[in-house]
Amino acid sequence: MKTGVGYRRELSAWLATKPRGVDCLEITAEHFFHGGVEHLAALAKKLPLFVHGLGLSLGTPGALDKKILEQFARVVSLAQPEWISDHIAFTRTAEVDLGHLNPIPPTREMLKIISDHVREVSDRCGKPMLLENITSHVQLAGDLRETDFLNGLCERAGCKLLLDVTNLFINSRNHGFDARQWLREIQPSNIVQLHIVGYSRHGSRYTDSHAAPIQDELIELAREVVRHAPVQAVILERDEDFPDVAGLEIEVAKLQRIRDGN
Amino acid sequence: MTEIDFITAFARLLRDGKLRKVFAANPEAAARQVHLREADLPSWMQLIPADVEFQADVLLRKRLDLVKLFTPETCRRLGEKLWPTFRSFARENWPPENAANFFDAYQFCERLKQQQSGSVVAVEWNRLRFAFSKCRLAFHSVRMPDARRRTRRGLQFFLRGRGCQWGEYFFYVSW
Repeated sequence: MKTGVGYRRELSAWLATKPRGVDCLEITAEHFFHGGVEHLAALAKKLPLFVHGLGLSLGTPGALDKKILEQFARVVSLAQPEWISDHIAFTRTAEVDLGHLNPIPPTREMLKIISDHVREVSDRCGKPMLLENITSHVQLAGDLRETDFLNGLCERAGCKLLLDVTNLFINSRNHGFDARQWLREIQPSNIVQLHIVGYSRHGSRYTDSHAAPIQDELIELAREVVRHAPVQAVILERDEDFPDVAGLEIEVAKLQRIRDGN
Repeated sequence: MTEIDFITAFARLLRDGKLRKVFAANPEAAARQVHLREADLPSWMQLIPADVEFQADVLLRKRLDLVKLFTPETCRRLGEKLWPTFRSFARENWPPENAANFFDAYQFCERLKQQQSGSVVAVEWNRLRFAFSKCRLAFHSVRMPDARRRTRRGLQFFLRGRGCQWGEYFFYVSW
């Protein structure tokens, strides 16, 4: 299993030192839509890359945004990742760009919409696609259980899951369900990659600020996933309040603990 | 009137503070207002207003993060009032898609100036105004901190090329 980090400019000096425990990088496709081609090529020479999208808006009914798809495909072509990923979510509609990930209802209709979009992206990019679970403060009802929806999506779209352990934990706390039971309902072979970062608290709510050290309860949950599923990579997804080098090394060591199960 | 699907209606709910008020008081009335298709009404009725409001705030905080990139000093000056002030402005004003973040910052500063809060930093406001003008050239006498964080008087100078590209220059005129 590979361990790595989500690439952010703030981490570039540290990554240049070839830190132990970082044997892959996940880049955010949108960060390279308007430039940075040489930089991307240089990264691709150093480490295996995964390409992660934020804005394909796979849950929007209707056609995918062709311009965004082409920009995404261009980044994939430069990075040559083993796989690509985006979220089980929508960020925009024909009327408005909300600028962030929002939940979709687990319905048969949505299953078809997202499956069709995943197939289109995967065909255009020539790469297998993973889908990531998001956090949402709204729990949407549908005619399927969330876990049945996710298993159905993998089967119908021919994709796998990027399980964000932190998002699962946060949703389980905010919406009052058992994360371990949720995991048992997911077909293990569907889980290929993990995201993890510490959660934050906002009053009684848990939030995914991407700004905190990984807590022990998340490490425990991630270990359980690793015992349960053929995970091939785990990525630290820190976006804010970056720690110093010693702090980063501590976070990477936590990924190794998840991988090694100790 | 054409009926709309759940995702389109939900997106409207998340961006429009006035619609959320209607929804909190009477979800069916809000569904009629947006012409939600009948088949999606059960999903709509199960939405919890407090959760929708929290999710909408998540989106507003993302917007504020981007506005801060263009108006860091103005936002710093607002201190603890920043979030409530921005939230009050942004709940009912969603920027158009093109140049959304820059325009959001412009409109936010415009609102602050209307409120005469005194928090808008001239250097940032001049930059936003120039970006949305068609002027080829503009200059302003301003006070701004130098590399040693000492506030000095200077000349802020903008020049637009033939395309949309423009540059900003600053000359200190006092020690």
